[in-house]
Amino acid sequence: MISYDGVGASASQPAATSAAVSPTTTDSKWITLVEDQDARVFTFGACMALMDLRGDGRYALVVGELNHTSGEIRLRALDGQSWRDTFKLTEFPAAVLAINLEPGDSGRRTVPAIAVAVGNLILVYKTMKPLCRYQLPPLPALKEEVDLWQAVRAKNIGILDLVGGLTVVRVSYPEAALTQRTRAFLLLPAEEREEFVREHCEKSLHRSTVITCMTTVNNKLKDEHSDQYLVIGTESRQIFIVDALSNMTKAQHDVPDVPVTIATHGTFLEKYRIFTSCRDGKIYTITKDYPEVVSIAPNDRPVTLLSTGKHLVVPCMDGILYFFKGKSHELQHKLDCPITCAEVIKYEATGLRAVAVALTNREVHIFRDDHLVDLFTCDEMVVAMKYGRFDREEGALALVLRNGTVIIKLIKRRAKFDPIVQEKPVKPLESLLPKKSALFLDHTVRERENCKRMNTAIFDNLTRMKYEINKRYADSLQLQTAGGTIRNDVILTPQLLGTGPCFKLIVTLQNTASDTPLIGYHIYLEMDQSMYALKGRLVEIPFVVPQGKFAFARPFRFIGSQIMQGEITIQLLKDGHCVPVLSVQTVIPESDPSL
Amino acid sequence: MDPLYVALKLFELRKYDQVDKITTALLERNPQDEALWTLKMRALTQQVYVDEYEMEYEDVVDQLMDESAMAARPRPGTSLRQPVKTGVGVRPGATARPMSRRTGRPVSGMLRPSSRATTANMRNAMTTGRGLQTSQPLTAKIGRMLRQGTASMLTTPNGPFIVLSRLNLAKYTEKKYLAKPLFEYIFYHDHETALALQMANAAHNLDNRDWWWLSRRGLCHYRLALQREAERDMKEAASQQAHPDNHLYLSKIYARIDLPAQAIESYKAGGVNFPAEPAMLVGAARIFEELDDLANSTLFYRDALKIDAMNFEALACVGMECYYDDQPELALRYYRRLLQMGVHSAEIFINVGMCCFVSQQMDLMWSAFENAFLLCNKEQLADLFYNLGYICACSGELQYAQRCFQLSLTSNNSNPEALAGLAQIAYSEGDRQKAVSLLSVSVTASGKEDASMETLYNMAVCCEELGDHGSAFHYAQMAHTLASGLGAVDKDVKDLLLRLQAAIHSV
Repeated sequence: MISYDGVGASASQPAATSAAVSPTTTDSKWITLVEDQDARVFTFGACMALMDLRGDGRYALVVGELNHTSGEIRLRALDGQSWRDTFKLTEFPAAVLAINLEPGDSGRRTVPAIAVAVGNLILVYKTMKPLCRYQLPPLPALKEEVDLWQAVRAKNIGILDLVGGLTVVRVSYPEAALTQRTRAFLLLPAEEREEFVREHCEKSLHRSTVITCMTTVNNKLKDEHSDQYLVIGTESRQIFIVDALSNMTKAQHDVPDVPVTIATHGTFLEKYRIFTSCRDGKIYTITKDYPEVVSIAPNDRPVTLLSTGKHLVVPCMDGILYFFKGKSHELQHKLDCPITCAEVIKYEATGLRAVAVALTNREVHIFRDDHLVDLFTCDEMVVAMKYGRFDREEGALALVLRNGTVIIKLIKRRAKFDPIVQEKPVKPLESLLPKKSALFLDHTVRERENCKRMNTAIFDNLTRMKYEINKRYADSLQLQTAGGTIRNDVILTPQLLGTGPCFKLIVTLQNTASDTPLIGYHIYLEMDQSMYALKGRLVEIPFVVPQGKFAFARPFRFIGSQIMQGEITIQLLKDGHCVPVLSVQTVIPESDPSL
Repeated sequence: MDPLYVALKLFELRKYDQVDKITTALLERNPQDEALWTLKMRALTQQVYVDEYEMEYEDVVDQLMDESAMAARPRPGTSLRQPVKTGVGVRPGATARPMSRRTGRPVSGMLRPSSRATTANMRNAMTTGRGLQTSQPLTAKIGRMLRQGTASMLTTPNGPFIVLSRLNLAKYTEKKYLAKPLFEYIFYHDHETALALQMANAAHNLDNRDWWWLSRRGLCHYRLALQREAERDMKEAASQQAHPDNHLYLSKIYARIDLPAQAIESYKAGGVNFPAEPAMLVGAARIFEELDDLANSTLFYRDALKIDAMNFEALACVGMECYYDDQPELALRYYRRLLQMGVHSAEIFINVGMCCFVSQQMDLMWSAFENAFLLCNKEQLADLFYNLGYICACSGELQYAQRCFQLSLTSNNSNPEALAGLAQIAYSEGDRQKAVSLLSVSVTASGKEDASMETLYNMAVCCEELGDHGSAFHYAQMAHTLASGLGAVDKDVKDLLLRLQAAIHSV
């Protein structure tokens, strides 16, 4: 059993070849409608909305964005080819979306409103004018906290006791569970605390929270004319379903962690389902009638959540796109690069339900179900995407690139999104490793139980092995019967040809040194002279350059009378030395003298 | 007690020497006693009896005189003479196991008469020198018979027991009770194949319904290298009487005339008639192994083990398969079983040691190697040191690895693996020149046609790094022919080839 590994494994690695799919511009499925390179829009996918601003059927792109030059945060709209400055916002919005506040029908088109989530407020605008605002209901403050503040008001405890008590409360609850007053109080320097208490202890305690994500859910009907409710995730680990117009909370759910992204499915009246990915990296499903929360955990944190109606699509940070259907996922797509953002495409004209996924290598992949159907490349990395209508066209995909460029692409009417047969450049290595046997597990148990003893034994073994090697090495240095390389960079390789009684001996001498040549060597062939007739026993070796080879052949004949094996000893001699440098023995097979 | 009865009992106890002594003494008193005569014949035959259904060496002379070859370039999988390079059994990606020197077939898990298989072609056989430590006989048959001939001389100091030339064969052929022992004596003890054939012919003419004589006639034909006649006889015998021997002989003849598929079929037919006979399964497994269909081979060996859990050959072969199939802990179990059964050889201990190392039971490793040191001869010592060198290299002790490889060379001057190991160390030390020269010695030592793929690939990589694109391309091409179908390795070789092609074109 000889195991043999090559140098080659570590010698060189070829450059990885990139994906073999080459998107050609000729059969592109998209038309670029707008490409505004000076837009300088910096935003996220959640803060983009494509909506009918005035109810005239012309859709515009509304973006909540940060202006890098002035630093102001504003709501801007791209209407046709031009931008309009609309509103300044106090802080960066958590979400901007279009919402139908009242039910429409086929005769009368309703004008959708813009809902902007800022802090704990939702600002609603309609036809570019402020309509109403909704504030999240205040939360009850913690009992311990209220008791402490009341005690201070009644002068039962001092400032220091208050600080101590509140610090204990802060440690035992998450940060968001405390009221603003407590948080502000704990941040103050010690000398200002007394002033603060005097000023505020008379007022009642308020605890508010912050919106982290927002989406909509249809109220009655599944189509686009239905009126919609807002679905809001908050920092206080709650999800509210809110009718913004009447300022009413319709439903409220608790989730195990803070929701980060949110997606809905179904209608509020019949049955709805809310998918939310939380800060703990898990995805929770909340159903209307089942209060318990079902969780699925992908391997890495989700970038966002998309509900296509057929699948729940989860692009994750590790570049894997999961397609969940029901409770089991088990459809996944490994992408070459990390994912930056993703968006659902619902093109009614051809009934296309797809997912667009933007990658860090500037490509945008379109998946229908779990098949890759299209792929295009942008000039820069895509950081935000929104699908909807633009101007009077259906099937518009708004893209925001990292350099602030805004692109709006339209699906060509005749484009067919058929699966691309992706030729994989490197087949993934088939893993043919057999399953680990029960015996292997037994061995691991043994290792676990006797780790200390085994470790000592192993080192003992290695030491003994080294001793044995060294001993034999020293012996062979004494004997000098090596085929080469122990003391000299010379290798002697004899070969014997023929089957007898005529033989031919070929001796190859190789100088393996990298710089020293061989000078002044002889080879002597020693064999029983009564058995074999050989002429020229002493061979003079000429000058052999480093890496050079010298070979010579000597024919000889068996002349003995008995059938028996013989031996040749090939000795490498050096001028001026009485002991041979090397000697190699070769067996000569028996040959029949009658032949 | 009646001495004849004693002799019979001793015969049952297989004490053939004592039987021989008693019957010789009795025959001196009464030379006409046929019972004694038969007993002595049988005792003498048993002493030199060889299972004829084992394959023999097939060597240069047999190949030279081979008249049964059907096509010069047989289709893959239909011939044992064609070394299978891209066989069905080669698993891509899995550990590429070392190949035997001459044929490109996997080294067997067990040394058996035919495991030093044939040379791939005559030209190679004539041009590559023989291994220095071994001296194989030219023709296996001659070697064996010569030896046994002398053995028979020694047992009868007063001349031969039966002088065959003076024997009235026709008379004894008619005596059925005497004819069979006499035939076996002639065939096995005296090796007078022509005479035996004459007798078998005569007996067959007397009674053509006796399968025994048919099958013996087949054996005679086989020994005289009349394989087609032998095949005819054996087929007829097998159709008359489904005896295990008949199936085994028939398969052996098919294997000899290079019809592996037929041989397997014949083994399978035998297996249907004798489902509890491991020899059929082992035979088929051997043929599969020679065809490089390791999956099937292991399957048959495992089946054989189910019937006979003490079959050395099957244990060793399944053990080796487990080792290369990344289940060294299972291989360890098979080898330990061999040790328990009393098979103590250096190879087994080396294998146990390697299994211990690979399955991370390193605290048990050294005792196995120590035993191997006690048992090994010079050639095994070379392999032992090579393996120790591998272990040292794996555990990062490059200096000790180098010493081990050098010691391996001390025992076997042309150990290509050890040379390649030394080259690898030289490469890791940055001495490309030395690596190239050591690798080239390794290639010469194993013969250019039989050099391993890894050596050729490494040679190509080293040559490329030294800027010698011509030689690099040459070696990479050679490696490529060997690597096809090895998955990831194959890809590396192809990439290297493409790179070299581009480099050469750009010049």
